[in-house]
Order: sequence, then structure tokens, then C-alpha cells
Amino acid sequence: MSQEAELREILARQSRLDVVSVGLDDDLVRELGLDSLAALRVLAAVEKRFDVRVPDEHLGELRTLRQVLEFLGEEKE
Amino acid sequence: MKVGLIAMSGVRVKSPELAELGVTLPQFVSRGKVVASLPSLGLLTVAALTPDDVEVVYREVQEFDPEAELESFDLVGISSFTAQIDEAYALADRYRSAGIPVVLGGIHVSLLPEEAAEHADSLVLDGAEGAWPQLVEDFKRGRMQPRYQGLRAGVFEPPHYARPRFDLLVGRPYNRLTVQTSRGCPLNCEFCAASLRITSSFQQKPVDEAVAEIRAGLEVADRPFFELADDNTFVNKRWGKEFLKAITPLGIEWFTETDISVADDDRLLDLLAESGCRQVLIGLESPGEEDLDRIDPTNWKRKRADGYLEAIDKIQSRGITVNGCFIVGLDNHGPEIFERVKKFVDRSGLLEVQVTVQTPFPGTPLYDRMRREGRLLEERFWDRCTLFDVNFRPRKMTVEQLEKGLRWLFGELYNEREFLKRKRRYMEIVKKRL
Repeated sequence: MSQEAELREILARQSRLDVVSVGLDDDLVRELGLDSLAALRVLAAVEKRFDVRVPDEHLGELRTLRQVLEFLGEEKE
Repeated sequence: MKVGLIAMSGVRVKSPELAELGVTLPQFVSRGKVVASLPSLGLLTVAALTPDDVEVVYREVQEFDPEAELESFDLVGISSFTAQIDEAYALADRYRSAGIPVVLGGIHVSLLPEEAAEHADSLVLDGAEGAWPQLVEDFKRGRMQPRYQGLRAGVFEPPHYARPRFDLLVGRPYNRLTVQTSRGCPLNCEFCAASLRITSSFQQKPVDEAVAEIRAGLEVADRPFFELADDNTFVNKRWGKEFLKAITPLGIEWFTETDISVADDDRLLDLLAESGCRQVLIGLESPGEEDLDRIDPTNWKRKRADGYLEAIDKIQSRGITVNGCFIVGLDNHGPEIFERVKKFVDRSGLLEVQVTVQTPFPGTPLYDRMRREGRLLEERFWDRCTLFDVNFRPRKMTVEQLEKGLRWLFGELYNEREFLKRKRRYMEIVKKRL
């Protein structure tokens, strides 16, 4: 399964969004109405699944799937 | 016939220093926005109690504008909390000057009917149930009475109960809906200005009806977040478990207010987590046992204070955040209370915190006592009943110490660093549960 597919699976589990229609650049909080706790649950699940840690000061910055994927890419490097 | 139901909404702060500080504090602002966005469940209920042959329009007014064009109605109903009541009166006066009769209702109006009567053609006192349908019929016949007494008990029983008109919210920009499962609270705290003041005893909605309301909300909004508009949802643990089992299959996310005793029951906590409860707001009021003396007639909160830390941990370990509410300026609070609250919050790991100043809302036992003791700063201060402005002389500190301490505490609790700390704490709890 691709990283994007895994990310969408996490999003589906931790939120009530229709993940199929979520674009890579959609702002999950501002445009799709994900509440702040759900956004944190998504990031927590990402951290656990990919064994990474988002620096606390950047928690509010990962708002789109693309931003999360880019973060994971950087962590891999 | 067209009835306009107008809710005065929004959050107010009068103190300029606090208002200025507030807009820079992330967690303070975010909860303020949420509160301001909640619809008026009272007026949606009034809408549901209106006969079918009457057109109902629901409106929210964030701030009174004396120049704004008045929408035309045959009858206007206005509901407001105390802090906005003068704006509500001003709006009512404008409608009446334009020849449109006005009905006022809500808790403030129910507690101070003589004052409200000066700005209204009619008043609905206590619940709209048992009053509003008759008022509308009388209005149609041209004989609306100056007052209608609503029910103080049996509000959720037929034929008085009506399911709120959530359909009137279609198209609203916010996606939060309120559902009431109970009215009143048996704790009867001295300062409380909530629904217990308009009920004769604790009223609990039947589970089936509460669930039906949630289902109705799901039909009109896209994946709404539900806020239970209760003052203490889980007074009855057996009812609570039945309710939680019934809503779990709906897959919703929700918030409510309750008391610390939810932590006494592990099964209830498990069901809360399974049902999608994301946060419980609990009035802890103060960190120390002695601070809480005589807050409520049976000293229930005082007796529970030494178990706060353990209870918070039990609830939050289920992935449910606790919004711990503190009141500063209680009679047993001296100037050291601000640091004590800060230390307690640090130790407790609370994921959200709400600090307000003790407020003697008119009509409460606290107001009567403060007035008797000559401690009110002004006789009439309704626009300062914001929960953030000081309106009385504290017993063990000065007004200035209370105001300054409140600002200090806000700065300590609601800054970016603390906000991030709480976010991280929540994520670690979530990770443990995955």
C-alpha cells in the first residue's frame, strides 16, 4: 500500500471525512472542517504508524495530506 | 403570520485589558469562537412549539446595530443571556417602535420579569413548553397576555415536549449542533445561573427521544459535532449507560458537561469513549477542598475535591479530554489562588482549562448574598456578567488583585507553549490507545 493510501486510511479511521474526495492540497481543518482534536488524532496515528515525531511547534502546520506526505519524505531522508 | 425568533449570541468581555489579552491567547479564542457559534436551542424549541400554520424565521444577532434594517415580522421573540440583555432590550424597543409586538424569554427574563416587561408586549417565563403555543393562539386572536408561565417540570413529556427545529439551521456556516438531554442539576451550586433556575427539579429526557433528536440533527447537517446543552448529563448513571449504548452506532463525535462522578464508574467511562465523546467539561471550581466549602448546599464538591487528580487521569486515559473549569474569586480565595490553580493544572495534565471569575448573576443565591453583604460594585451590571469581569468585592483580596491575578493566570494557561504542551499530551494518550 502506498504511503498516501495509508494516510487516507488513517484519516478515515480518525475522522468522519469522506476520504475519497479529499484532495492532496485540501486544508483538513479550514476547508474540510476537521475539528482540532480530530486533527491531532490523525497526527498521533501518523506518528505511531510511521514511527516519526512531528516537532511540537509544527503541529499546527501539517494541514494537508501533501504536507504530511512531504514531512514523512523528509523524515525518511 | 410570520414569527421572527432572534437569539442574541456572541461572547463579551468588558475589561479592555482582558479583551486585548484574550485575542492573543490561542485556546481562549478557540473556545470563545465555539461558544459564539452554538445555535440557540431554546429558540429552536420555541420554533418547534409554534403551530404549523405559522411561518418561523430563526436569526442570530452577534452585536446590536441600532442602524440595521429591521426584518419585517408579525411577531418577534427574543432570547438572550444576561451579558447581552441590554442589547436585547434595545432591539426589542426598536421593533416595538416600528409597531411589531415583542415577546421576551430566557433565563434572565424569567428571573427579572419586572425589568423585562418594560421592553416587551409579553413575556414567557421559565420553559417555553406549556406557554408558547397558547401565546401564539392568543396573539392570532388579538388577545396576547402580558405574561405566560411555562412549565418548570414535565417539560420532556407529551403533550408539552417538542423536538427542536434543526431544519432552521440548514446553510449555517458552523457545524455544531446542540441537543439537550436534561434540564437542571441536583447540585444546586450557589453561583449557578443555568437551567436549574427555571426548573423545579432535575428533568431527564427519555433516551429514545434524545437519540431521535441526534438523528434529526444528522439529517440536516453534514457530520455535525454535537454539544449536549446540559448542565450535568450523567447524574443518573443507569440512564447514562443506556443513552451511550444507544448513540454508539450513530458514529458521532460529541461534547458534554457533567460532574466528576463520571469517573466513579469504569463501565460508564468505557461507554463514553466508545460512543465518540471527545470532551467532558467539569466544574472543578477550585483545586482545594477548603476553597469549595458551601459552594453547594450539601458540600458535594468539597467532598470530591481530593479525588480530582485521579478522576481526571481516569477520564483522560480513555482518550476523552477533560475541560477543567475553575472559578476564581470564591470567598475562600486569597491572592495565592492564581498560582495554586496554575500548579494544579500542571499536575493534573488537564487537556483543556477554562478559568472564569465568580459572577453574581441576578436571580442567583450568590447575587442575593452579595447584595445583602453590600459587596456588589454596582446595583445593575448586567453587561458585565461576562464571566471575565469582576462585579463584586472579594472577601480575601481586593478587586484589583482579582483582576490582575486573572490576567496573570490567563497569560500562564492560554499561551502558545501551554497550548502545544496540551496538544502533545493528547497525542500521546491517543497513541497509547491505538
